[in-house]
Amino acid sequence: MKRAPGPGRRIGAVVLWAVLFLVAFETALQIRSQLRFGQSVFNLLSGATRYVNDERTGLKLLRPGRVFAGDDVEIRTNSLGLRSPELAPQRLPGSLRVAVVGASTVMGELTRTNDATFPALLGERLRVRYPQRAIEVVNAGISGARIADQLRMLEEIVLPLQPDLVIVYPGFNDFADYCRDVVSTPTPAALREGLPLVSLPNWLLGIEAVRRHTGFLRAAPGRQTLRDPAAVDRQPYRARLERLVATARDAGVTFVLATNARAYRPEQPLDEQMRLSAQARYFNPCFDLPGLNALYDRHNGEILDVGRHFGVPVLPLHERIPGGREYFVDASHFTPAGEHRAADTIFDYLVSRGLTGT
Amino acid sequence: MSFQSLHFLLFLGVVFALNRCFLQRPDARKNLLLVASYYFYMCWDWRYAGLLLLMSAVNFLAGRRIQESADARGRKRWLAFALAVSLGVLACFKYANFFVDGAVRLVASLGVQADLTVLQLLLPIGISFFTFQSLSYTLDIFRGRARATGSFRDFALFVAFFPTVLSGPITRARQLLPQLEQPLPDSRERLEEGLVLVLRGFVKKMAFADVLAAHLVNPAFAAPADYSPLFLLVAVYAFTFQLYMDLSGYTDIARGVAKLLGFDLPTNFDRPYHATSVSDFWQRWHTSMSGFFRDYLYFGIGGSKHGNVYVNLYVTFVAIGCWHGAGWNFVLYGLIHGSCVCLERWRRGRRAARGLPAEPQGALPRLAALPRLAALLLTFQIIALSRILFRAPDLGSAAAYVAAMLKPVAAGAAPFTAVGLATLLVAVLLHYLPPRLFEHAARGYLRAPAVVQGGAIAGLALALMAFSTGTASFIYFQF
Repeated sequence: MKRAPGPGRRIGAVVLWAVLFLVAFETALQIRSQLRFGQSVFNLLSGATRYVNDERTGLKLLRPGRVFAGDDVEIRTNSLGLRSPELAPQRLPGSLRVAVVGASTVMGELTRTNDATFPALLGERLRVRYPQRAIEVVNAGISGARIADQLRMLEEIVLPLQPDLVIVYPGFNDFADYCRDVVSTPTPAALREGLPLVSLPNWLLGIEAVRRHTGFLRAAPGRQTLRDPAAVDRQPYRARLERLVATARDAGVTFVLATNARAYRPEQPLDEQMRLSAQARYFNPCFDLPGLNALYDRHNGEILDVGRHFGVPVLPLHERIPGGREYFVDASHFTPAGEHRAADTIFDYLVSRGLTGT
Repeated sequence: MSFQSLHFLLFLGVVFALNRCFLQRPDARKNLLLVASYYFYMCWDWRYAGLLLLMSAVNFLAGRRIQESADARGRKRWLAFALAVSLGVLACFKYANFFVDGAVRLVASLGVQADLTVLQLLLPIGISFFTFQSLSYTLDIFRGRARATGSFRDFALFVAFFPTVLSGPITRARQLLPQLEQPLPDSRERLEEGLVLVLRGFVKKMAFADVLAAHLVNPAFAAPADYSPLFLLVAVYAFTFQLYMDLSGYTDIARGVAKLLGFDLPTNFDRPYHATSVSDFWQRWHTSMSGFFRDYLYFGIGGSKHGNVYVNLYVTFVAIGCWHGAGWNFVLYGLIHGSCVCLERWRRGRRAARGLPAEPQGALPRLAALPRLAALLLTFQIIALSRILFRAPDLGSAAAYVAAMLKPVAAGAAPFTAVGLATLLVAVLLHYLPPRLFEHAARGYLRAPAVVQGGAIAGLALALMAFSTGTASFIYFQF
C-alpha cells in the first residue's frame, strides 16, 4: 500500500521546488552574462576569471593576454593586465606616451570594444593631431579601483612605463565606504556584537539583477538620507588624492586630474534624475538623491582644491560633459557618445594647455 | 539575525528539520529550541544573552517561591523582588539615557557643563518584550492564575523563544508552557497555515511597510518643512499603515514560525483601523501588549472597581506610551489616548444614565451605517495624527511636523510617487476588504500542487528582494 506523504515531506517538496526555481533563475542569468559579457560563475569554476590578484603589485588586474568576448562587450587585455594594446618595449624618440588611470569608467566596463573606450579614442585624436609622433595611450583603469589602488597602479605599473603624461579620473568607488557602517548595522544596536552571520556569495547575479532594476520601488525623490553628506569626513579622501598627486609630482611626470562626471544633475526633471542615479543609489544606499548630488559635488570640490593646492591642472570634466541619457549608460559609465565626448574634451584640454609636449 | 535574512532562513530550516526529528522526544525538542533561541538572540548581541538568562532566573525563582510561600507577606516580598529586578533592569537600559540627558540639560541650564556620556547604555534588543513576558508569569502565579513550572529549562525557553523574543507577541506563560508538554501537533494543515502566515508577514513587511517608509514616511519626517501640508498628511496616513504592516507582519512571521514548530501564539491584531472608538482600537491593536497593561496594571491599580477609574486609565495609557520609549513624545502619546478613552467612557456612562444605547444610531434605516462610518473615520484620524508623536524622534520634531502641516496649502513640495500612492491605496483596500477573501486566496494557494506553491514562493522571494530596502529593521525592535 502506498503511503501518503507526511506533512513535513509536503513542505519539503514545496521548498525544494522554490529552490529549484531560484537556481534556474540564477543559472539563466549566469548564461546570459556569459553570452553578453563573457563573464559568469562558469569563469570561476574553470579558473578563467576576468580579474586576477597580481601578487607582485597587490593589485586586482585583468587576466593578462586574454580576450573576454561577449555579445555586448569584448575585452582584450595586454601582458600587463590592462585593457590596452601592447606597448612598444622601447620608447621611440619624439613619441608621446599618455596613461589614463582610473576605475570602471576609464576601463570601459560597459564599452563594446577596447577601441571604443575614451583613452583609446583620445589616442586616435592625438595620432591625427601629431601624425609624425608615435602615440601610445595606456588605459590603466580597473573596475572597482579606489584612489589607493590607483596610487599603487601609478607606482607599480604606470610610472615604470615612463609616461609623458598621466591623467587620473578617480571615479566614485571610494564613496562606498561612507555607507558601509550605516547600512550594515540594523537599529537599534549601533554597536552590537552579534555572532557571525551567513551571507550570500558575491558572484550571485540574481539579487543584483533584481535590485538594480527595481531601485524605483525602494527609493523616492524626497529627502530620506541616512547619512548627511555635509557630515561625511572627506579628509581621508583628500589625503589619498594628495598622496597620488605628490607621487606623480615627485616622479617628475606631467599630471592632470579630472573631476568626476555623472549622469544626473539637479537641473534635470526629478524622474530623470531618479532613473539616472539608480546605480549610484544602489551602491551608496545611505544617501538619497539630493544627498548624492551634494556628496559628488563636494568631492569634485576636493579634486579641484587639491589640484589648486599642488599647482596641478584639473580638468572639470563634470562641467564639460552634460548629464543625461545621451552620454551616460547609467550614473557614471559612458555611452559611445559619452566616450567620444570625454575623449574630445580631454584632447582639447591637453592641446589648449600645451600638455602634449609640443 | 533578522527574519528577512538568508541566515534566518537557513537557521529556520535546520531548526524545523531537527524539531521534526524529535517528534517523539520532548526533552530533546525542548533542548533544541532553547539552544536555538539563545543562538538566535546572540546573533543580535551575545553580550545581552546574560540579561535574558538573568530575567529568566529571577522570575523562575520568584514564581517558585511565591507558589511555595504560605503567607501573603512572603508572596508579596518575592513579587516585589521580581518586579524590582525586572523593571529595574528595564528602566536602567531603557530610561537611564533619558534621565541622564535630562540631568545634563538641567545642570547645563545652571551653567555647568557635565559629561555623563559614560552612562550611555545600549538598548538590548527585545528587552521590553522579554521583560514583560517573564513578568507575566510571576504575576499570574501571584494572582493564582497559573502554577509555577518545575523546569527552569522550560521557563528559559518560554522567555527566550526565538519567534517572540524580539518583538512579541507577548505570550503568557499559561499560553505557551502547557504547549511544551503536549505532543507536537503534526498535520499538513498546520504546517501550511504556518507557511502562509510567514509568507503573508514577509509581504506585509517588505512590500508594504518598507515601501511606504521609503516613498512617503521617511522623506516627510526627515524634513517636514520642505513639503506641502497634503504630502505631510498623506505621509501620516502612510505611517499609520506602515506601522500596522510592520508589526502585524512581524507577528505573522512569528506566529507562522511558531506554528511550523508546533506552537500557537496569540493573534495580536484584529483589523485595528476598523475601530469605531479609541477604546475599541486598543482592543484590536497589539493586543498582547495592551492586554498585559490591562490585566497587570489597570486591574492592578483598581480598574473600574477601585479608586478613580479615569486616573487609572490615564496611568495605564501613559505607561503604555512610556513602554514604547523614553521621551516626552511618548508620554504625550499616552496622554492623548488616555484622554480619548476617558472621554469615551464618560460619554458611554452619560448615555447609559439617560437610557440611550452606548453608541448613537442612524435616524433612518438606510442611514444606519452612517454614525458607525463617521466614528470609524474620526477614530482613524485620532489614531493617525497621534502617530506623529510616535514617529517623530522627539517632542520638538513632532511639533515641527505639525507646524509644517499647518502652513499654507500651496507651500512646499509634494513629491508623490506612483509606487508610494499605489502601495498606500492597496494597503488601505486590503485592510478594509472582508477577510474571507484572503482566506479564500490562501485556500486556493494551499490546494495548488507543490510545484505551483514552490514557484509562487520563488517569485515572492524575488519580489521581496526587489522591495527590501536592506536597511529597515522592524520598527518595534527599538522598543
